[in-house]
Amino acid sequence: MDTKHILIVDDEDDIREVAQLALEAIGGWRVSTANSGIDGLAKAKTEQPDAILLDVMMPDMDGIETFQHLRTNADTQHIPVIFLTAKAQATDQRRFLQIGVTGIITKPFKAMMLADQIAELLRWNT
Amino acid sequence: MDPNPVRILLVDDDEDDYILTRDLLSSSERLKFELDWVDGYDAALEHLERCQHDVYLFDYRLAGRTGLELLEATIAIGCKAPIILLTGQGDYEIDVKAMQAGAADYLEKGQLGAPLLERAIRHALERQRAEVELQRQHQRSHLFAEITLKIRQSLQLEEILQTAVTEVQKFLQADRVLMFKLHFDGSGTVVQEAVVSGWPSILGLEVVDPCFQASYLEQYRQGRIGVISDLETENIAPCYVEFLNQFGVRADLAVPILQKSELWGLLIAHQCSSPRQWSSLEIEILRQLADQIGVALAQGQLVEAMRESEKQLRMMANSAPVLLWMSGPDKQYNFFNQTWLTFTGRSIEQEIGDGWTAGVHPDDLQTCLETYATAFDTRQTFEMEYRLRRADGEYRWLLDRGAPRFMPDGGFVGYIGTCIDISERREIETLKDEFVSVVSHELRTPLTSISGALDLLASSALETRPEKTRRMLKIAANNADRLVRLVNDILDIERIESGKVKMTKQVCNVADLMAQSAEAMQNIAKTADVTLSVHPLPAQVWADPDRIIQVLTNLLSNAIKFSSVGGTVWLTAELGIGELGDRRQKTEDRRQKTKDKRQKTKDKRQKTEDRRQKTGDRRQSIQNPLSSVTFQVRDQGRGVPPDKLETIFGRFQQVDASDSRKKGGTGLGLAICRSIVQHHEGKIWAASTLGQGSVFCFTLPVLPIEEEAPAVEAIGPLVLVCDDDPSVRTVVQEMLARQHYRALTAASGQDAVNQAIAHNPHVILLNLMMPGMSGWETLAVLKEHPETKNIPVIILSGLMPDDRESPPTGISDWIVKPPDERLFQVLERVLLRRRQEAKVLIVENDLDLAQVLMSLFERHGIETYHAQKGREAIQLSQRILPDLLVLDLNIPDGDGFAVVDWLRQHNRLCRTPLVVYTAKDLNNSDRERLRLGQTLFLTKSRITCEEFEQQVINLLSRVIQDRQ
Repeated sequence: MDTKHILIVDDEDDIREVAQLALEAIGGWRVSTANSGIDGLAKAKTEQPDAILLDVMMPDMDGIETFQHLRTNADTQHIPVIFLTAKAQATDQRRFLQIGVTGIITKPFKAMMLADQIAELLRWNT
Repeated sequence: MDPNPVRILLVDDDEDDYILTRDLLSSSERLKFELDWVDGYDAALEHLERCQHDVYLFDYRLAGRTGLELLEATIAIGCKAPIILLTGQGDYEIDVKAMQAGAADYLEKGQLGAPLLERAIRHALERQRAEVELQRQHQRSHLFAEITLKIRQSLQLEEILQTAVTEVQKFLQADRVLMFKLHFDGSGTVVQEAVVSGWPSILGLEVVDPCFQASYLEQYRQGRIGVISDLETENIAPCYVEFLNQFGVRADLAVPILQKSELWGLLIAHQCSSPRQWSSLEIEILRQLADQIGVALAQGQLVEAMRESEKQLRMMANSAPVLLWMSGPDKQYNFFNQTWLTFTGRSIEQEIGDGWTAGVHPDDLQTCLETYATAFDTRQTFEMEYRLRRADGEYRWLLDRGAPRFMPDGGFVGYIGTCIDISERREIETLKDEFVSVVSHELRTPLTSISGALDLLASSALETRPEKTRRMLKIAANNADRLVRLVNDILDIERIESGKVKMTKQVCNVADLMAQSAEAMQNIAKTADVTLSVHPLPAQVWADPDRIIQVLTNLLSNAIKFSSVGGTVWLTAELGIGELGDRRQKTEDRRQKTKDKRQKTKDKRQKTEDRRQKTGDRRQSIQNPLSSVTFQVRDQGRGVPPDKLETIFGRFQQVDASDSRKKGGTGLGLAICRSIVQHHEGKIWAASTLGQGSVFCFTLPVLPIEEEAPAVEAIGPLVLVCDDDPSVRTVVQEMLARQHYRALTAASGQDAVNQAIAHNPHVILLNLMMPGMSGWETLAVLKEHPETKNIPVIILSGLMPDDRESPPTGISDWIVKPPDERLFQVLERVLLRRRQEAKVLIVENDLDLAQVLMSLFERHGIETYHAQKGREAIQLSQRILPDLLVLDLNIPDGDGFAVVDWLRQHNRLCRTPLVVYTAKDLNNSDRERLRLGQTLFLTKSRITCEEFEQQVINLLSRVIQDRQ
């Protein structure tokens, strides 16, 4: 199996750090991070990750806007996006799926399971 | 054979003819005749005018005249008895003329025989009777038709009854017809009457004659009809005869009016002029009419009840606090209540049909109409929410509930609907949803870090990487701390905003508050390498010190967090620049108007805050601008973007959430600050220049504001405040003024002594540590001087009394600064102690009022006596020698003037202080006459109980002061 490359976009330093460690140590993946939507867009374009783990509630450009930019940009529109969100309500989740995200993982997540969850959503058969 | 003879008048010039006719008639076996004969035309006319005969026989040939002429004359008189003309043989022409003129028959004289004559008379009589009967029947049906028509034309009860009596009177030609309405107790009233002139009217007569009480009602109830043809000859109870005689009644006919088998009353006809045989026909007609009236009354009452009920319903509909509408079976709206019309500010004409849809928000109109139409077609109840434009132009959310209306027979007649304004509920729901969503996010964020870090730590994944293990532990610990702070802040703001946390306000020193706050933040500032520059203000505010320190430390902490290393944070305060702050605020408000679309929901919340803030502004503007202190925390940090200056005071509205989290913020600090400041009737705002720093300001009132307190003249006890600190003097003076004490101030001990001698205050508040003459020295001087030695002195000092020693003589109490509510308790107690030595006599005739006045004085611990009469007042006065007399002028034996006159003669009572408390308006000479010692004139009902209490207790305090 190829080593997957994941881009984590989250404004929370601690969450970014925990998620990164979880994916590197448990999933054995390569992880890069961005602390804002704008930074995320730039890194997605240049690094071409296999998937993006995107926080929804961020200042300035939130996850939804970031996702829409990713989708309208030819360089990034093929990259699957998984929302990482504290919004656990069913209505929010339905709304996210409607706009075309590949999957949703709610906060707080299980660090030991995070890589498995992502792989399952993206049908990466490990 | 008919027992009554038929009376006949024969007019004939020939006596032989009379004899012949008499013989012919007497031979009749079937009828008995009484024949009168008259000779000649003129004599005949005289008889005819009396019209006393049943049948007339006229000979055609009369001297100089004809029977035909007599026939015409008779009919012209109005005599209705049948006339038979006797003619000669072959006078056919005459015969025809006679019949045309109205003769009942004609007979040829030559052929006259007994059977023929008898038959002609009999037939004439029968024909006439039939005609009369026919006429009566016609009259009866006419009467019914008329009355029924009139009843139908009006359903007013009164008109029904009026119509009935008038018509019956006309029909019966009775002297009086009346409606007698029965009451529950068997008595009754004449409620309608038609009476011919000449006879007394008895309209409105109430009849409670015991004569009627027995069983007559029961008989009427069973349908009995009372018939009296002649009061004088019939066997009638004497009391009843006497009763009817009053009204000149001779004959009486009474039929019951039953309304649904209940006896409503009687329809009564009176004949006054003469006795009267009431015919069975008349009785029958009256009975039937009474039935008709009964039905009409029932209908009328029903209609009246319906009208009343409709009126009530309409009134209810119009005064109901909900918006009401109704529509018809054609879907069109046809009614809106007053509440609706007031709400929309439109007229009923504008709203009916589909006019009302003009006020519905365009975005909601389609759904609204569809919901209504769908429900209407299936006759279902419906509920819908839409926005309707209010008279002021604002769209309000309404909850409209509609239900189909059906008649008792099941026929559908449209819809009725009620609407309530749910705008506030919707707003609150939106805010709540947002808050829950934000709180959930804010709580989940640290939890995510904690849970993720612990998850990794619990596994073996990090076993070989100790530096990552430590890092994860640190992340878990930091986020746990943050979670604790967050939960605390959420609980704190909830408790403050819901009012569960009481602000324990007291007089606080502004400088102290500033110093304590700076002290608390000193270490953090030092760690951040930020200089704290504090400029304390010597002023006093009315506040909860712990909460204000919380606000200041929060603002300082923010300022330090966002300051660069080596920067400075200034903490300053100014007196009375509240207005300046307002102006600055307005500039920010204007700038605020350009708003991001995404801010929309937040804006809505902001509107509520703005409104709240505006209320604050109003309050602020009432205050004297100098009555507030403005605190300022200024930094040199990166500043706040203009569009965030307002919103940062909202919950979780940090400029940059993740950044602030990094700095340990919870997003609730400023919201808590605002809440605390608002609970102090102050306001909070921020101003900033991006990149150059921010300034956060808030105001606090110097003292509590009693907005409603009317500007009453200071008439309370006089308090001398002696303190060298001007701010203490100001604060205490204002506190006293608010509780309606009069205050004098002295800046030094010597000043206090001078003022005490000059003004003789009720009590002195004395500071101890003063330059020059100390408090103790001042006390000694006051206690030595004869004019001040009896004035109670209360120590108001920063020092605590020494528990080991007994309190120094000469002081009444000790208050430790800062002064709070306890000041008033102590003042009251000290003043009360002096009043308790007083005796009051109340002279008041009204026992209830006396009771009120007595309890009023007793509440102050004053010995109170009461006298109800002048003599009693004089006796009691001599015995108790009252310190104050409260006198009502209106007392039973003599008046208040007499009491005052007597007291004036008394050598010990002539100077008694007096309160004249009367309902009378007194002129100057009255007042002069009533003056005793110090005299107060108070008018009952012009003065409230509180004002009375205040003025009288105040007078009493002065009196006691003078006495000592």
